[in-house]
Amino acid sequence: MTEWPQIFAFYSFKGGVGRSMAVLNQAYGLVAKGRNVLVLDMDLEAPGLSGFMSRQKEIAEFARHDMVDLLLWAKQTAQRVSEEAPLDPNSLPPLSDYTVRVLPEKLESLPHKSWDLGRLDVIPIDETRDYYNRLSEVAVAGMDRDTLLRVGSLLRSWLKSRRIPLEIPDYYGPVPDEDRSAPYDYVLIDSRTGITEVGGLCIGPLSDQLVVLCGLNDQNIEGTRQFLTEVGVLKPSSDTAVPLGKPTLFVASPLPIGEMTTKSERIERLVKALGPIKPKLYKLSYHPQMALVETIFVRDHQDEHLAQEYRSLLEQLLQRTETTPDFDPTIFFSSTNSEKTLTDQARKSVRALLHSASISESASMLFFAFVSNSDLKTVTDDIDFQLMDRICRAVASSESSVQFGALDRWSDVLSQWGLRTTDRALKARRFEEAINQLDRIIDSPRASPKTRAEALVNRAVTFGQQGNPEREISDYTAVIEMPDAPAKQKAKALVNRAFMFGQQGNPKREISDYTAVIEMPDAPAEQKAKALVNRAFMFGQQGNPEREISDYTAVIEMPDAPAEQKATALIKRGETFRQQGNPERAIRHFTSVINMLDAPTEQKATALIRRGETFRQQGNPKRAIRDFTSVINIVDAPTEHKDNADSIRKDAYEQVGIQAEANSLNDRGWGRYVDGRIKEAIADLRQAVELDPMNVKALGNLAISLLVDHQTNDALAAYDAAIELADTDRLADFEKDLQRAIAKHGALPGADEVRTRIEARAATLKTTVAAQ
Amino acid sequence: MNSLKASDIEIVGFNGAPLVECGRSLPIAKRKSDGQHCVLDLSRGVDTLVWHSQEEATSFAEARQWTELVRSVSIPNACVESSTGSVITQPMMVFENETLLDVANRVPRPDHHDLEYLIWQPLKVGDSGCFATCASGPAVEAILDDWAQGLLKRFDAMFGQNPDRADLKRIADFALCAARSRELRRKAYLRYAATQEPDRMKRTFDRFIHTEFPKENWDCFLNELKTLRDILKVLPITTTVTQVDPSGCSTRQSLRDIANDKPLNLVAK
Repeated sequence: MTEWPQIFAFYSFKGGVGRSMAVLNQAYGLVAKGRNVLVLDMDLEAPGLSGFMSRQKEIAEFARHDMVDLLLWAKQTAQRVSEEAPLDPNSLPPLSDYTVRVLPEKLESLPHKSWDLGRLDVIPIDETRDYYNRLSEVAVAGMDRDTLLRVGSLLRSWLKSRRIPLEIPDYYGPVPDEDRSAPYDYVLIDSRTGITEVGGLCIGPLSDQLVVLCGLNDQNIEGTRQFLTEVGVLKPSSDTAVPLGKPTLFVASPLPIGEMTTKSERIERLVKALGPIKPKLYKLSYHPQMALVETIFVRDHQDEHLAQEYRSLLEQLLQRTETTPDFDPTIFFSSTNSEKTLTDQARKSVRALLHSASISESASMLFFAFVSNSDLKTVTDDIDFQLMDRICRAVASSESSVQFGALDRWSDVLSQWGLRTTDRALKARRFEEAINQLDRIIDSPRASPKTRAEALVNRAVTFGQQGNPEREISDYTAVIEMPDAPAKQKAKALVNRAFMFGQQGNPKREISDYTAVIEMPDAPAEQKAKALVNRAFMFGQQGNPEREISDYTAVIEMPDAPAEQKATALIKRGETFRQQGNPERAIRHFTSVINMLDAPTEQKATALIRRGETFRQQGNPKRAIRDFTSVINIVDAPTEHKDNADSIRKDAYEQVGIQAEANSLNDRGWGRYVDGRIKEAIADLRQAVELDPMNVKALGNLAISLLVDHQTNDALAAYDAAIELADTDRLADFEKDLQRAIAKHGALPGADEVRTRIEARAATLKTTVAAQ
Repeated sequence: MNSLKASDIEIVGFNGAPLVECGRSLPIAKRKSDGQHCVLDLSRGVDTLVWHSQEEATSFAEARQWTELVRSVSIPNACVESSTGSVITQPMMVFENETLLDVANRVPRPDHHDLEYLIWQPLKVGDSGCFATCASGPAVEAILDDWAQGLLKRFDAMFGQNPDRADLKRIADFALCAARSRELRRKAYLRYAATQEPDRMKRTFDRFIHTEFPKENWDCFLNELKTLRDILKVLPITTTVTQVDPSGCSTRQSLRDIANDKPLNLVAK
C-alpha cells in the first residue's frame, strides 16, 4: 500500500539538463490532476527553482522560515534523538512556518476536467535573508553518514506526518477527520547536482522514489553512472551495473532536435551504462524557449511537444504510485440491491475510486448512472449524500454531454439533503448550492430552451422548499412567458404557479392558470388532468358543484389521464355525490377506484375509507368495518390512512353493538304490535329508533304503530324518515303493513296520505335507477 | 418586547477587524426583509439594537470597523427557540487563520461542537487564510480553549529543545489570543513569561499578569515559573549522539549505498 505523501527526489549529475523545470512541470501537472503537492528546493547553493517562483510571482512572499532553516532544525534535532528515545510529535515544526502557497490565480489556467485543482506549496530558499551565514551554519557538506541518515529520516518523518486541510464544501456538515485533512499526495525534491552530501541526503532515506535526469554527453552519462553506483541505485558488476531497490525513473534530457543518428547512439550508450536490465528511458526534448525563459509548459504552452512529454512522464509517475482499487460495477446494480441504496461495499469502492488517480471518465459515468437511478427519498445517510455530491461534481465539471443532466441531478441531491437536516444553517447552504447548480444551467448559452425551462421549473421548486414563494412564482412566470419553452414545462409551470396563487389566497388567478392549461392544445395529459382535478376542487370550494362534477367527469373520461388523477377525480366526484345525498352513486365511484388495477395505494386506501364511511352513514357498519380493515391490512398504505381507518373502525364496532340492541327492541315492539299491545309496542319502537335512527325497519314499525294508535302527525313524521331511507322492497313492505292494519282496525286517519307518499318515493327511485 | 426571527436574519460578518490570529466578536446581522444591518448584541434586548442601511454597512466595512464574510451564514440553531423561531441567546463569531491551527495541531478546523454544526466562511478582505463562523457563546469559548490547549501542548513540547525564543514567544502569544478560561489563560501567561528575557519578566508580570490576576503574587509566580522551567527542561529526550566532525569523513564514505538505507524512526508515533 502506498504511504502518503510519496516523496520523489529529482537528481541530475550535471546542471542545465532541465531538472528544476521538470520538477515544476511535474508539480503543476499533478495539481491539474487534483493532487496536493509540496516542492522542496534542496539545491541549496544554486536555488534556481526558488528564484523562478519568486521572480515570476508564482508565490507572493517567503514564509517565516525556509528550506535552509528546516535543514538546520533537522540537523540540530537529529543530534538529540534516537529510535529508542524518539521525538515528541508535538514538537515538530508547523508546516505553515516553512511552506508558501502558489497563488491560486497561477493555477487557474491549468487544464483540469473531472476534478478540482489540487494545492501546490513550496519550501523555497530565501536568498534575501542572511542566506550565506545560514547556509554555512547548516554545513551539509560536513555531515557524516550517520548524520545524513538521521537528518534524512527526520525530514522524512516530518513530511509524512504533516497534514493539510482539504477543501470540503461548507454544506457537508460533520465529515470524518480523515476526509477533512490529509497528508500531501506528493513531495517533489529538487536535489543538488554532482557528488554531494545534499544529493545523498535527497536520494537516501528522505525519498521513496527517484527521478534521474541525464544529458547525453559522456560527462553526464559517466558521472550519473558513477554517482548512482556510489549511492547504491546501480550495483557494480563485472561489465556494467544492475538496478537495485529504490524505484527510479530515468529521463534523458534535453534531447536535441535533429542529429538523429548521433542521438540514437547516445541514447543507446546511456541505456547501456544503466545496466543489462535496460530500464525504460523517458525523454524530454530540448525547447529553445527553455534556453531563454524558464516556463511551466504544462500550463503556459500546453500544445507544445515538450508539454506532452512532461504529461507522459507524469502518467508514469502516477502509474508507479497509484493503483486502481478493485471495483466491481455490479455492486450497484445487482438484483440483491433492489432498493438502490448504497451498500457498505459500494461505498468503500466509490470512495477509494474517487480518491484514486486512475478514475476514468467511464467510471464517473457509471457512478452517475447509479446516482441518477437512486431514489433520493430513501437516502438518509450524510455519507451517501456526500458521495453523490462528489460524483455529480465530477461529472458536472467534465463538460460531457450529460453535464446539464448532472447539474440537474446534483441540484436534486442537494435539495433532498437540505430537507434531511434540521439545522437551519446547513439547510440554507444546501438549498443555496442546489440553486447555484441550476443557475449554471439557466445562465449557460449552451442550454436549449427545453433544458433551460426544466431548470427554471426545478429552481422554482427549490425556491419553494427554501420558503421563498416570490422567487418561486417569478421562475414559473419566466417559463410561462418563454416563447420557446416546450408545452410540457409551460403546463407544469402553470399548474405549479396556480397552486402557489392558491396558497397566497388568490383563487381567481389560481383558476385562471388551471384553465390556461386545460385549454392548451398541446399540454401533456398529466398536467391537464392535474389542472382539471385542482380546478374542480376550487369550484367545489366556491360552492359550484355542477362545474366541480363536470371537471372531475372530464378527467374520468380522459382516455390518457394518469391513473392517479383518474382515481383522485373518482374519489372527489364520489364525495360530491355523497354530500348531495346520493350514497349509492358515491359508493359506486369509490368501488371503481378500489377495483382499478393501476390506482396508487394511497388512493385505494382513501377510496376504501370513503366507502366505509358511506356504508356507516347508510346504517351498514358491518360493511364499513370490512373496508376499514382492508385499509389496515394494506402493507404499503400510508400510516396516516391506517391510523384513521383504525380509529373510525372502533366507532363502527360500537355502532354494530347499538344496532343489535335496536334490532332486539324492534323485534319485541313488533311482537307487541301483533299482539295488539300498541302502547307498549310504540315505547319499544321509539327506543329502537332513538338508538339507531337509520334503522328503517324500526322506523316503519313505529310509523304503523302510531297510525293505528291514531297519533297521525307523529305517524306521518315517522313515515317520512322511514320512506327517505327505504328502497323499493321496503316501500312494498310498508304498503303491505298498511293494508293489514286497515283490514284489522278499519279505516285509519292519514292512511291515504301515507300511501301517496310511498308512491311518490317509489316513483322517484324508479326514475333515478333508470337515469343511472 | 419585539422578537428577532432567525428566519429573517443572516450573519454577514463580525464587529471589528482580525488583528490577531484568532478571537471572538459580536456578529453583524442583516435583516433580510429590509436589508438593514446591526451589531447583534442582545445583552440589552432586541429593542436596543441599532440598525444601519446598506450604505452605512459598506462604509463600516471599508473603514475596517466591521469585517465581512464572503458568504453569509445563518443564526445557529442553538441560539434559536425552536417553537417560535426567535433568537433567544447571544450568537458569537469566532475567527482564526490557518497558521494558528497548524501551530496548534488543530488542522482541520472543527466542523461541529457538540451538536452544533459550524459553517466556516472566508473573510472578504485581508488574509486569505482567515475564516470565521457563527456559533453559540459556549461553543465559541470551548473552541478557543481547545486551540489554546493545542498551543500550550506544542509550547511544552518545544520548550526543552532550546528553540528560538521568538518562536516560543509567538506560540505563547497565540495561546493568549485563544485561551478563554481562567485556568488556561494563567497557564498561557506563565509560558509567555517564560519566554521573556529575565530582566523583562517582572515588568511583564506587573503590566499584564497582575492586571488580570490581581491576587497573584510575584514571588509565588516566580517560583512557579522556575518549577515549570525545570519540569519542561527534563521532558525532552537527550541522547548520546556525538557532534558532527567534518574532518573525520569523506563525501564518498558518507554516500556509499545511502539509497538503500532504511529510514530511522526518530519521531514517536
